[in-house]
Amino acid sequence: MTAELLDELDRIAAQAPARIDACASPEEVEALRVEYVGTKGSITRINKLLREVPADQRPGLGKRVGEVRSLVLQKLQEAGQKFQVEEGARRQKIDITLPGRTFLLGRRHPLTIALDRITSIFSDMGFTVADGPEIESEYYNFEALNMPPDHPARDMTDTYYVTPRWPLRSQTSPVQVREMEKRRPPVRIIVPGKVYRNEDVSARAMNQFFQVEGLYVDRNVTFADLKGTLETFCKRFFDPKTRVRFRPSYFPFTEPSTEVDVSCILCNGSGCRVCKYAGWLEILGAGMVDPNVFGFVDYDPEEYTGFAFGMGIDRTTMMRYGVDDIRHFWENDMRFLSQFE
Amino acid sequence: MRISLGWLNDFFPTDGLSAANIADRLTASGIEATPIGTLIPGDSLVIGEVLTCEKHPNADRLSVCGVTTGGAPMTIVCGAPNVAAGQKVVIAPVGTELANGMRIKRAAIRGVTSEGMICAEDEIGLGDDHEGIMVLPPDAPTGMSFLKYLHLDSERLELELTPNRPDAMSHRGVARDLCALFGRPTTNPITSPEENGRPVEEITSVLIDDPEGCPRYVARVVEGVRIAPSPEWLAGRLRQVGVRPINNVVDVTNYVLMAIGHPLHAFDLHRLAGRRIVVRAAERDERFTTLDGTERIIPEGSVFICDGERPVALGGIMGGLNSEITDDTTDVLLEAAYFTPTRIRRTAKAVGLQTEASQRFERGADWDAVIEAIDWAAALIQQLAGGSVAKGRIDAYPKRLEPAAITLRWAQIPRVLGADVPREESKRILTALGIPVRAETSEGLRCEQPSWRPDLTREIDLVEEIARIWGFDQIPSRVGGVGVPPEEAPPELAIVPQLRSWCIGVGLQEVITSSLVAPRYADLFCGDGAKVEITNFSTADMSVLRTHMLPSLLDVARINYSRKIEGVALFELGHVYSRKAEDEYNQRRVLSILLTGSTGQVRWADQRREWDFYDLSGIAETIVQRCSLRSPEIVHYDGDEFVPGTGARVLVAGKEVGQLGQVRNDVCELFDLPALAYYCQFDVIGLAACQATLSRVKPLPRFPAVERDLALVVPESVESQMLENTIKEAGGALLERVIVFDVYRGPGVSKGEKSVAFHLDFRAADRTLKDEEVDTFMRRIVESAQGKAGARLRE
Repeated sequence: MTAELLDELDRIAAQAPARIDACASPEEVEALRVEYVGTKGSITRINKLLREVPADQRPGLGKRVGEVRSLVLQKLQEAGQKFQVEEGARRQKIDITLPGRTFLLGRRHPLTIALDRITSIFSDMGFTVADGPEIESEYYNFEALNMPPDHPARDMTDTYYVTPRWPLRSQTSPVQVREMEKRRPPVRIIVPGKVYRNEDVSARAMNQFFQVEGLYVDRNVTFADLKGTLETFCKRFFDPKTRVRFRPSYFPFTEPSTEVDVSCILCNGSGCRVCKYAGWLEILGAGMVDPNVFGFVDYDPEEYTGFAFGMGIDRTTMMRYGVDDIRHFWENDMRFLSQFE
Repeated sequence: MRISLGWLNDFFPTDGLSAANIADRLTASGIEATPIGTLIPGDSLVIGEVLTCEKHPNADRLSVCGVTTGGAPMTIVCGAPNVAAGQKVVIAPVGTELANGMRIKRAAIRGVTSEGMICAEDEIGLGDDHEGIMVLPPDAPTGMSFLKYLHLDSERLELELTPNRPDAMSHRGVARDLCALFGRPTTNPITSPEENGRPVEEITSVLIDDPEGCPRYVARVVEGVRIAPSPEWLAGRLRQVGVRPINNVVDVTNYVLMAIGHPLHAFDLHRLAGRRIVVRAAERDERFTTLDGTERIIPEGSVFICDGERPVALGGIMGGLNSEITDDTTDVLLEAAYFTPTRIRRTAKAVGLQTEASQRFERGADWDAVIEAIDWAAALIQQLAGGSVAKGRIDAYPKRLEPAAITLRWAQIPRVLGADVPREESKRILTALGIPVRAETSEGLRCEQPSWRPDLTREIDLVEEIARIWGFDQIPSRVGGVGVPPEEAPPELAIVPQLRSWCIGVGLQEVITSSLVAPRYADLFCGDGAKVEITNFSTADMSVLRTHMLPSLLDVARINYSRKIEGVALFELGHVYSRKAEDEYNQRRVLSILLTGSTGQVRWADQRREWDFYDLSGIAETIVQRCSLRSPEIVHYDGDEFVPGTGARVLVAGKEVGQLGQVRNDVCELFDLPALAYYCQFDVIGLAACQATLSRVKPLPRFPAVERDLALVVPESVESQMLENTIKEAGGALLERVIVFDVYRGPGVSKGEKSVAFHLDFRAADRTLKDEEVDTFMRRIVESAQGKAGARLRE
């Protein structure tokens, strides 16, 4: 029996390489793999018969089975590789223009995009984000900002009230006072937040909007620093070529006070409908912190000076993107929101 | 407020300056000014004479007129019933653009060519009258520009004044700034009356019972006036600045007001009981009819101007109907007073009256201008209405107003501005603005507050005056002058942009919604405390601060559904508000997430489906995982937002950071949502508190893991998290990872049961695990699952 098996192995060893080489497709190679080394293949069968061979002949035959099996497996592998290479090189028929599987990324709200940009520009200049309550006491919203009861500047805004002593903040400025109470100078903060005005909602007006407030108090802070900081901001936020204009104005909590205008972002100052043919857009209010405000937080105005600024971002964002109705920001129609980056 | 350049020229020489020049300099110095042209457009309107007037041959109601404007006669077809030969009329020649935007063209009207138009009042923007054409007095000079004739040919400026500048609410006030800006001297047109009457003390008296509210009251009397319309020059000037002419006496008081800014009032002396004036504070619930004909309840503490018996004017705000000047008035008592700003402000606000007078008094009028104002008014009345001016004036001044003394240190100017204004220039500016400099030292100046500048009381106020006139553009810009080391923002703020980016990463669209909501939304769910209501809201739909974020997000879904966008995945980082106690409010920042309807994945290769619970819980897990570097624990919670059984609390290390679940169906119906909705909210402070950062990396494994799968059949009531915990506990320290990879119900598993399949990785750090070891672990796991969850191995 051993001799027969050895013969058969020799036959396999003689024929298999040529047969495998002659295969024309991976399917044929697979068929030969099954024929030789599959669970019912010829080599496998011989291997199983080893048990029935007399013990002294077993090692010799076993060695031969191993040799032939290795030879066949190697040839099969070579043949397989040959077909794989050919498969990879063959032109595939795939419609590469069919849309891929969607992976939906979310988006920020346009007002957040603006707030984030503003915050990051001021962060780069060393300002830290701070925050405060929207239901604010009259003290912080008015009094400590140098607007005692019956002050005419209280008419500059129409304020919502929760009780006669508790307005909804009409500006982010109360956070200035709260932050100064918390610490000694230097103070360099930026406050993005929601503020409220008692206005009828229309295409041009909303009763709540976002403001960014800034405050910098230290020794030797001057109006020149105010100008430098806000010019830098405007050029980064709008365009390096943007021109910036400082115009005296009035806010009860700053003295001197200024409005900051930038050359119109649409017409670049030549005059258009957006800037009402003035060439300038009013985007910021600012000024040197009024000594009276320092009095409320117990800073010595002889030692410290500072500047503060505030800007609404809703209108600027409208102008920037040509949004004609402020309510779009608050309705959240997906077809509107999905247009932003 | 509007001013006219022609009028301005009475106080400041405007020669050589255009409206634009003046507006630019004013704007650059703090008074926002815009040129707005003449009161009515149409330089080409001209006075013409109707020479002939005949009926139109082809139309009953039209006339064909021959008209001259000084040159050759022209033909104009006119439709007015009152046109007649010999009239002086206003002609709009071909090419004129009228106030209503209409441009006059040569046109054939029913076969007759018309070469212009004869105008009615409304067509040129002078009034509402369209009864017929405007007929001018016979002495109106033919060929003269109509605007010039009416003194309406001056350019005007619209001013936006800040509330600190009541002094600039007049031509003289603006002129003061211009004099300082252009370095020109002021001019003074103010005249004094010829006192040709009897002594004023013989005629009337003034008693101030309320010196707090009215520190100063000056009166003059003019007897024997003749009330008539004002001449065109005066009426024209008033019209240009938006004041309607009434009669010569009233117009004079308005003229002086607009010229120098001090409000005056004229009483009919005969209608004052006792012919005297008493100033007192109003008592409770007094009623008074102001001269606009409205009876008002006057708040206690208002300043009342009374005669011998009753109130005759609401001081500083409006006169009374009972004492106003009429056509029959012959004797006039003029009032020029100073009222305390807060008193006027309170009354004006309470009665809802904003008048030219109240606007000035409540911001602070000029307490010394009363004399100039009353003298000039008396002189003008005398000039225009005749009569004799009583000798002297009554000046009741029980409470003297003292100007503030202000010391300006030179060193303060560069300290605040960062620029050194030359001292001579600073001094020039202050002097030109009318600020008296009382003394000068090497340290600085001692100045005095002008009586017309309530805003100038401190050193910093003078620094501002110098800066705004000198010009902000002359101050240099400094960048990075002084550095402050940046501080970290507090964690609950610093986490906000991170949360936002994670939400975007999982595919959520950010929304921003109104914090003001309708009461029905605020009452929908329990908030943190009592709801906070706005007392002075304008629409009830926005009258309460939101107590919960869910209604806001559902409303966004509703709006989108109504526009055929049938599925949203949203988040908002917003506040909810509550009242904790009297005068104690709370606002809490919440990250809220809503999924409803279609996932929006609709392309050929996508699986089309609707958002479900596990989308939501997966998003929640991802966010917690990112934030705390660990998986959250989900435990049952019967929140009133959620369908019972679907609500869950999200815990990190045992602390609740949020809630999630499927939104109650009746709530979805309130918002017309046809699909199921899933909502999750996180407390941002809670998330910030569990935020973790990686401290040390784990070394990469050097030995292979042994992987095993395990399918456990358990009663339906057993939840996967409990099974997972059991496996982890029993698996020991070498059980590296447990993943639920299948949940199966069906053939092979009896009803009321389910099969949960886990994939387990075992690994030791120092060797390759042997199968026998892992077998031991697996036996322990199965035994434990049997004991704790009644689980058995699935065959």
